[in-house]
Amino acid sequence: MTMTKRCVALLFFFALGIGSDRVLAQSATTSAAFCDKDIRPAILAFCHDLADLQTQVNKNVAEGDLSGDFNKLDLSQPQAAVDFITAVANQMNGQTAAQSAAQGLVGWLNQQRTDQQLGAGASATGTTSLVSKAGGSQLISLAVDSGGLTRSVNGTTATLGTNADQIFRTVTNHNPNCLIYVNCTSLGWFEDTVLNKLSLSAGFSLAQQSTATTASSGLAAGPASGAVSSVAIPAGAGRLANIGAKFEVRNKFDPHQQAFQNKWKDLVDGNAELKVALKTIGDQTELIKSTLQKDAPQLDDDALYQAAKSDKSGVALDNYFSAYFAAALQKVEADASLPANVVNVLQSRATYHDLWNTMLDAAAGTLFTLQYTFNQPLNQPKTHDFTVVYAYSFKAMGAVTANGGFSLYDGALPVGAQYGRMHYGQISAEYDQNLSAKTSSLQEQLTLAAYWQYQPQPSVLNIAAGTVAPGTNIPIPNGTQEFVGTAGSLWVAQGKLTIKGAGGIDIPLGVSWSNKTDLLQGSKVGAQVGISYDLSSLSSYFGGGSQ
Amino acid sequence: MSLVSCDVHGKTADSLVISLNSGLVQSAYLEVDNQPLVSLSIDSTERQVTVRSLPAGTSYVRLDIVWAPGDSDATIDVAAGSSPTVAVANPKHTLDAGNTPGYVELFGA
Repeated sequence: MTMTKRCVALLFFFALGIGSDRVLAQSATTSAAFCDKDIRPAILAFCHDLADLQTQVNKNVAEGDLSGDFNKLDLSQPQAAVDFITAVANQMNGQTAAQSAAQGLVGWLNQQRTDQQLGAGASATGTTSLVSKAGGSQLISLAVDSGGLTRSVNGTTATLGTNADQIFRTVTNHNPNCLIYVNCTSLGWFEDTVLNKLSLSAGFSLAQQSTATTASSGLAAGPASGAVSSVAIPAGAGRLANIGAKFEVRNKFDPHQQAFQNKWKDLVDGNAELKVALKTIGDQTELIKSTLQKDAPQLDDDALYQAAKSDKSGVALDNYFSAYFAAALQKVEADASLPANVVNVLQSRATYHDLWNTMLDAAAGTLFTLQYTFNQPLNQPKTHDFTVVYAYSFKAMGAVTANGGFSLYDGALPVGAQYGRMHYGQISAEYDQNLSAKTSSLQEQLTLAAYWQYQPQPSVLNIAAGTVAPGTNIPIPNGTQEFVGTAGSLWVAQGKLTIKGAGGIDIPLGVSWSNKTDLLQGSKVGAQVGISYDLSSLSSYFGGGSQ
Repeated sequence: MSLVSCDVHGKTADSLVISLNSGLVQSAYLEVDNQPLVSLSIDSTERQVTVRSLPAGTSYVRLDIVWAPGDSDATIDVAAGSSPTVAVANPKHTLDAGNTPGYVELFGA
């Protein structure tokens, strides 16, 4: 097994081991239902209640003892209003303003996030990010960054990013543009614990221009006859520069432990914002409940019971309920205010969902992200970069992200190498603060970042066989590796302003100072500019339709 | 609806304490047709809500609930402090975990 494969396998199994304990209220109460793979939005939204009813009927429970189950499926009853809203949000999929508003909502939530990184990492030749963030792309993102931070050569890097869960939802025809706990249901344990937390990326070096030469710091590996006094800094274009994976890790916790429950209650009690969001959901649901009570036909309990009785598998029950739901929807859609009311509830649920997740992070403990990147710098040894990302939000006071990591050289070291496996170690931190009001369509985010990297040896540059030593006409016969730059500390400081548009477009503008760069001595003042686009808003074109 | 489908029933003007065994109730309101919402008091456990006087006929209690990770469906029951004539459905009804608001149907005879 090559080192690359070992690293990926290690990360994967580590991820499996740590991430398996997350338990949400939804998954804890949903039985292994016959309906949870159904593509009809109404069946998915009411699946829990349909499954409960079918289970009771299969146990020969009398119809008269099932009034509680009937209430939850009877659209003329308030007990059915919450699931009705979930169902109708997707029933209207692609046909009304509801879905486009829901998609806009995802974009709005992304605009508020300070923990998302769509572009390349600090070691790329074209990057605007000095510190890796905990979060990645929502569906598919494309970022183009220009300007280097730790590299000597300024390049332009295009980074394609994706969330593994969203891709999985796309290829399985489940709507990728949904919010768990808001308007979509989980596809299973593997999705919840692995795919949902895994982001993948690939960086392509579009241009890496240089005409500079620099003094060599000595022979890194190869025959002594191959030593040269100066080397050309490499230039290139259009190549895969790196691939990476990020996995978000939440501390293990047991929701049934008293200590967790006490902490949860304390957090709920102290969260005024959450109470307001909850009340808003209730108030907005009232409007839809009133429409349903007024216009929705009453469920024929007996017919529903007979459908369940006639087929223990639940298919007949699903079909009966689906037909009833469709007929009811046709009637309640006469209320012109329904789509807008549904959108309002979805927006409130999304706000609540965000607060709920933040509270879970606080109750469960610190959130870490593990990041692995395989780097293929031009004319330099390939490396495996490992980073641990820690993020802490001060809510209105901004967020801090800290990184600790190291980089290892790939493969077997050349015979006689004057350097070891370790490329460098680094720590870095950044502070992010949204400058705009939440209601503003353009969000501006200020970032202040600092980065420290220590290299035990100078950087290594590959000199290919036949390369002519700069300033001479003497070809190097067997190829060699030269040390370039200096060992020791590399410091970088950066200030950045990111303009975030409502459509998912981010434009980061940064300026940086470093005491040196990877291949050159002497300080460098640089500028970085980029543009990234989160393609979540295009999800409907990928064919997702159901939950 | 009626006595048959309700979650809790009793005599009109009975006092009752609705109790849940899951979730945390953050706000609660009594809803009677053509009348304004009435805010209800919640105890310190955030699982008991007091209705001072059961309205005649069908009414609803809206519960704005925060569900915790791992919570199961909440069983609707009545607690000490309720009038002796107050009773719950048999078998007891539940509120779906994760859903907010939850509605409890009352019937005063």
